[in-house]
Amino acid sequence: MHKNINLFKEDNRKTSPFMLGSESENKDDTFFDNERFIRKTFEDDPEKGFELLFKAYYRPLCSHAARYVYSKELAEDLVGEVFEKFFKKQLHLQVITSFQAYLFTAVRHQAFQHLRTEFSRKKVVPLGEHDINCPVLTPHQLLQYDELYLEIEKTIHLLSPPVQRVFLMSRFEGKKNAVIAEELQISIKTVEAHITKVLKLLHKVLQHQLTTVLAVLLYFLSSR
Amino acid sequence: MEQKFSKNTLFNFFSGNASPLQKKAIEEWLEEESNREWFFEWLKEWENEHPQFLADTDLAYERFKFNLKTGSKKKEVRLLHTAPHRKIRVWMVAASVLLLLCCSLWFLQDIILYKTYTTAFGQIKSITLEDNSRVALNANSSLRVPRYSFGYGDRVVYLKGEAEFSITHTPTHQKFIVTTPDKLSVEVLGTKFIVYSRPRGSKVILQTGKVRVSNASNESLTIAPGDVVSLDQKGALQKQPAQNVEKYSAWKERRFIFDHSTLTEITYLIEENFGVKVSIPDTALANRSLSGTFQANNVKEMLEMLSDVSDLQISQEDNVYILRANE
Repeated sequence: MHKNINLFKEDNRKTSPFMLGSESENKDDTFFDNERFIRKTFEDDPEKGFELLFKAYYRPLCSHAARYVYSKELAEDLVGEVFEKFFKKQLHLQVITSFQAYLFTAVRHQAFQHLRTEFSRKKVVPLGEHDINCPVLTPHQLLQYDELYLEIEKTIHLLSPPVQRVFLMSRFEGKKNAVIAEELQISIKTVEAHITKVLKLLHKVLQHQLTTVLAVLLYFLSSR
Repeated sequence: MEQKFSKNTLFNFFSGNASPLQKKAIEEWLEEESNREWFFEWLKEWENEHPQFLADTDLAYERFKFNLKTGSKKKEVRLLHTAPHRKIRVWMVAASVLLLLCCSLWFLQDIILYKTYTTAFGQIKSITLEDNSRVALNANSSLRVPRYSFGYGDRVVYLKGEAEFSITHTPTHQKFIVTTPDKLSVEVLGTKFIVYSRPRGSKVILQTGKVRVSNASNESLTIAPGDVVSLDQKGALQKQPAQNVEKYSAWKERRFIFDHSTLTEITYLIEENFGVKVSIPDTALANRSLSGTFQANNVKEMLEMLSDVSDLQISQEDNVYILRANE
């Protein structure tokens, strides 16, 4: 299922899929250059290479993780863990896809794991870590992760504006209930009630959604 | 290989605006592994253009390097705003750990804060405290002395059983206070006295000097040498002046001085000192009284001595000695 595609080696360049693109070829060339530059730096000075990698992808990865966990703090933690693993296991030597493909997939995996521990009622059996030994996700599996954050977003969109505002202040910005109550001039009880409401709703929605993603992923894990 | 999709189609999909047909098409497009690289490239671009928030990269990198260097991986509890049932569970765990800690500390506080001297049945111990006061601890007794605070302010000790105290008078006139389980408290400056505190009651016997005795309800008496103060059934203080105090300290030489003591009283004494139950089924016999000084190092000697002087017959049933009059 996964051919070893050494996208970034000179001799592969001609066959590189990125070169096969049509009209956007030149415009998007920056992307390879960027990744190639990072790879090159890793060869010369891994520490410097890592710094470039971190600084190039930290922000979009955090933004992406936040779509799943709806908390800045959690998002940064999850991304931090992914980078830590990358650093400690010297993954720049092993990753066969592009760095960004690996990083995004790992962050999604990590976020999914987190949602399972937080929102499953049952005790969660941890999935195997996402790592470079996992075969590339099938398109269906890949898109399933998108469906997951889209579903969460939809759920939050459906909330009434006051509830939504309280939820985002609490969860996304990590504000204390008392602070929210003061800023919005409402009682702490109301704040608590709003948050409980959202969490209950998310629970309900995610029960189903998480199981679906898990089923899709497990299918992939067992078919390795 | 033709790219079927513009970046826009993918962006629409990421934003949740793709139709089911478009999704199906994307899925097919992704079958080509190289297109997956495009997928992530555009995902990154899309995130950069529509960020949920702008994380502070430089700060995060500094923190990351710092954590790597110090090895301090902050493993804080991540379930910040979690569902109520989980929150309660986390709190319950925290609460029970705390409770357990408190319980064990509470149980350990005696060991941590106090040094306890104890004597077994038939054993007598002589103790010198830090202030050079001497304590003779009779059998089956315990004395608890603060480990750290002793000698600062009042010198307070806790006695269960029987002991003779010879208290030194400190230059700073610190009080020495003996307390007992039934809240009898004896307060002195420097003197010699005996405190008896056992299930059958509490007594203070003053040998020399002056002491102040008080009870749970803060009644107090100042007593003179030779006075014996006991707590009665209701916890009130009863003073018997000018007693022969020698009999109260005879245990130090393993002597027993009986002064019209009934056999029942003597059986209590045996139980207190040797941990042996003695039963006298015949009430007339039990009320018979005895006077004299006896030396006994153990329960066998004691009982032999009793049977000799009172013409008793001793038998043993299940650890209980039974005294009967000889026919």
